[in-house]
Amino acid sequence: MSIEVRLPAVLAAATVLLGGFAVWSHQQADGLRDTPVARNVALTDNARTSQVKGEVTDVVNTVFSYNYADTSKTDGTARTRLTGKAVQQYDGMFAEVRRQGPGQKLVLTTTVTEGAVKMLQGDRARLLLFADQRSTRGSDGKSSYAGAMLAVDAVRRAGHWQVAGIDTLSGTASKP
Amino acid sequence: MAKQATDVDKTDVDKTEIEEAAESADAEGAEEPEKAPAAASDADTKPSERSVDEKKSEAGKPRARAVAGAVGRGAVDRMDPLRVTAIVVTLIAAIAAAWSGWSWYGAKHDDSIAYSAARDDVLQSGEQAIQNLNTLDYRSLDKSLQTWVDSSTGDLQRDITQGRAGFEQKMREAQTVSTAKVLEGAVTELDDRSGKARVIVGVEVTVTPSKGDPVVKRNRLIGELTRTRAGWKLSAVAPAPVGNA
Repeated sequence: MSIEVRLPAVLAAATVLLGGFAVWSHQQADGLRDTPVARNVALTDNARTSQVKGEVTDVVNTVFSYNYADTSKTDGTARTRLTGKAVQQYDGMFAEVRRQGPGQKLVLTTTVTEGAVKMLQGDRARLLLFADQRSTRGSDGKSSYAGAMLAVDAVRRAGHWQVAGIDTLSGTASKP
Repeated sequence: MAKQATDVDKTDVDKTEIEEAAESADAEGAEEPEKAPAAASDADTKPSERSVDEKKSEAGKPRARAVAGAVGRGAVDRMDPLRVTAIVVTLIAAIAAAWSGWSWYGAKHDDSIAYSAARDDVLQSGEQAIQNLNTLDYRSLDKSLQTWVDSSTGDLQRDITQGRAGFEQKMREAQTVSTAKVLEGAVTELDDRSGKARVIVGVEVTVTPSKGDPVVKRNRLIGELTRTRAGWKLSAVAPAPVGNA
């Protein structure tokens, strides 16, 4: 007789306790996983970090290199791998090169020497790049070498990383 | 014929069960009215009549419930649907608790979360140390240089400590004030296990000489950090070289 009364009461109590624990521990797990630090997998996800660093480095090297004799590669990459704000920013930064390049017989080579992924989350990333820029003017033989640094915002579209923002870290456009 | 006989037997069994249940229910019901007479004795006849009626209906409820329970028991072969539901609900709660508990344990011991936290710790320590090492005020030279010592470790710290006296002299003569602002930084490598990391940081340094205008320079710096008991410290720092040809 007593078991008939006790069992439902025990089950009810157990359900409340177990249910409460389920909710509490789920919140705890969320609290540990759902932080900006944990969601940023830069370096933590080694494979994806390497992938975004490699692809963005290629885009930056190509898009900031220029050869007056053949601008197809530069133009092509600028068209396909720049998106969003980067399109306007790049046009502003490269306007001088495009205008004076042919006349100066300009050859500009940009090579990224150091790169690091600062943020990587889903299809968005931010990178900091140090790059060497060497420019040679065929018109007067003048040559210059400079070190540049820029921060790049990237987005992944259709399996490829594209540059969505270029930050020269100074507020003013950098000239080659 | 035989079938009828068994039916009759079953009904007999049911009847005895019902009678038993009813008796026990009556026993329960009988306890309640104990309190009622005490109250009724002080009042007049009308309340006592009412309490008697109440007694009857009160006693009737447990009796009716017991009867229904007995009928249910008999009909569904001792598996009360309510009880089954209760057991299932408890099982669901148990599964949910086990799953969430496992998820929580996993999160607490997640190596990648710990690694991400170390990465951010490295960056914050590295940026702060690099800013410190580019900050100097000749008017509080001791404090500035002590901050340099505290931000560094290993070879870098040794170099700073050894060259401190001579450096202080030079700075006092030049009377320069340097301030630094970190433009952007990121971690290039992190070996959490051995406590070694590498960062690249862009800084803007403003040097104000004793006479003349302040000069603003942008530096690209590469830093190496080593984890000490007091956290990540700068063990080496140098400007990023601009390659040749």
